[in-house]
Amino acid sequence: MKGIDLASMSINWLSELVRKKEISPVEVTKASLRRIEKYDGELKAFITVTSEEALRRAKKAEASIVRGDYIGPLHGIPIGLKDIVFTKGTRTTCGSKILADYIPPEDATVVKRLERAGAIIVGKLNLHEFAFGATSVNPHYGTPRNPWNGQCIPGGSSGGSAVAVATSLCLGALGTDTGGSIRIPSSLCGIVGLKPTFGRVSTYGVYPLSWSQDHVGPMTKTVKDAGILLGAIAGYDPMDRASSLLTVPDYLSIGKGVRGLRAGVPSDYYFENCDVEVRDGVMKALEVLKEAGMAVEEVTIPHLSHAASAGLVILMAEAASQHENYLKGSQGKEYGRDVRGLLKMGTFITAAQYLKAQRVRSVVRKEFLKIFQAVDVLLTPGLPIIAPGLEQDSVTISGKTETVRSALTRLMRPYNLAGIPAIVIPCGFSKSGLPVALQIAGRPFEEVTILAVAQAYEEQTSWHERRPSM
Amino acid sequence: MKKKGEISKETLRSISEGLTEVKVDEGEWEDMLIRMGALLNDIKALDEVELSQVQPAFSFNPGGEAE
Repeated sequence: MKGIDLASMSINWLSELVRKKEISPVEVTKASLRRIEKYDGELKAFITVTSEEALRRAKKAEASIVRGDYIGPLHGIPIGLKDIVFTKGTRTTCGSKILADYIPPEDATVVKRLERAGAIIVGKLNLHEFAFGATSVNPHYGTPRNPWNGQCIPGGSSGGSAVAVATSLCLGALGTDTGGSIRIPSSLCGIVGLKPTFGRVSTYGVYPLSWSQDHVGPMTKTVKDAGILLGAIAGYDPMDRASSLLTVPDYLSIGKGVRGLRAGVPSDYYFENCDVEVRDGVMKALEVLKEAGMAVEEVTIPHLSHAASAGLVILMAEAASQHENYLKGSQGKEYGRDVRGLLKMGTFITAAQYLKAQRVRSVVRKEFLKIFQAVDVLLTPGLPIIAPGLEQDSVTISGKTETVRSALTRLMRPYNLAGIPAIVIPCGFSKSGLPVALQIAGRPFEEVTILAVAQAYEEQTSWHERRPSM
Repeated sequence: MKKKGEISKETLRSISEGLTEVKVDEGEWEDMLIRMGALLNDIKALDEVELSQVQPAFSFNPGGEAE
């Protein structure tokens, strides 16, 4: 089949054609590589493109499928990896100059699992240096371009992953999320981004930022695709000491609707200092879910406003510890200015302050678990703002000014701190044509529930079908 | 003019470097003082939470209460 239009395809849709042998994995991979060749010079989504290896694996996948050995919905599907996920024999830069030539000796667990599922890795995706930032402005590899407006940030730190998926350079990608790094760029680029429960997906072989808040998860064009990718990478890994032994459910059995489910809306925190267009988009999304049969009520989580502060203190201290040797050594000068400054600041956090943040974390997590006795999910905006400009340092909402970093992370961090799953999906566009996102969070290890709610919303709307003009 | 008992920026910088063993360049130090102000606000905010009976989340169990 010639002229495959990846822009109109989801993993779920394409995999059916691959399974029925109507499309070959080689043609699909070639279509992905052609798009990368054509558009990535401008988009800067990729740091490394693995064309030869991808085509070799695609031919192998094609041969398997012709033999009748179809593995599942990722077989022969082009997937990208944030360039902080280790790939044996392929350089993993972490978006840094320090690791510009680093070639890992082994694959991350998630890479082994994707390959076991038959996925074709087409390359390594751009990011904020060492995943320590929310914009993806990268002084070493260029800044990935927001496909809806090139003058705006794509968000980060998994910016390359979001741009590649939004522009269909690949059908799905993996990102990492320590303070929103999957959900921020997914929100700003109008795609689906899922941060699973802490311990659900192995982080072994992923360069750490904050051990107790790092998560790996899928970034896709549709909710079903997120379920497909999550199903492939989730599950116990003895190499990750935080990995959970809990059984992995079938994430493809979602789509049972939302009737009978209860949603909580913590308006006092999540809708405070929120852009009017974002608030309107999310409120309309709540109406859609209500009409679909979901019960929606206001809830209060007392220490929510402290969660972002605790998450930041823990992140700064853990990141400074991870980077200590580089910081003290000659490599210290090779960091970009913003990341070096943040890491150095992290060294000033005292042990007592770090422990206080960990104690606040206990309080916040307990409050989340209590609220989830009353409701099944929490519904909030993904971000309080639409995509800010590339050079913008601060935003002003309702007369209150805050840094872009704070605005991008304050609605995200609570879920990293508590380790609970959260998904963002597009729920509208601003008048200027920039995406707005709805965030759905759920009980630990109940990704099935948040996927079901997201799927129900997606079925009632068509925001996920919009594509940026190329 | 430095008041009595007030530590100069330079002294503060050298104490910080001594404690953390991380060298900070002149230009960076000015930047960091501004950013530190924001971080200190976050650290200070944690004082508002009643923690007398609360243990740190060290034993954060990935299985959570669901296990």
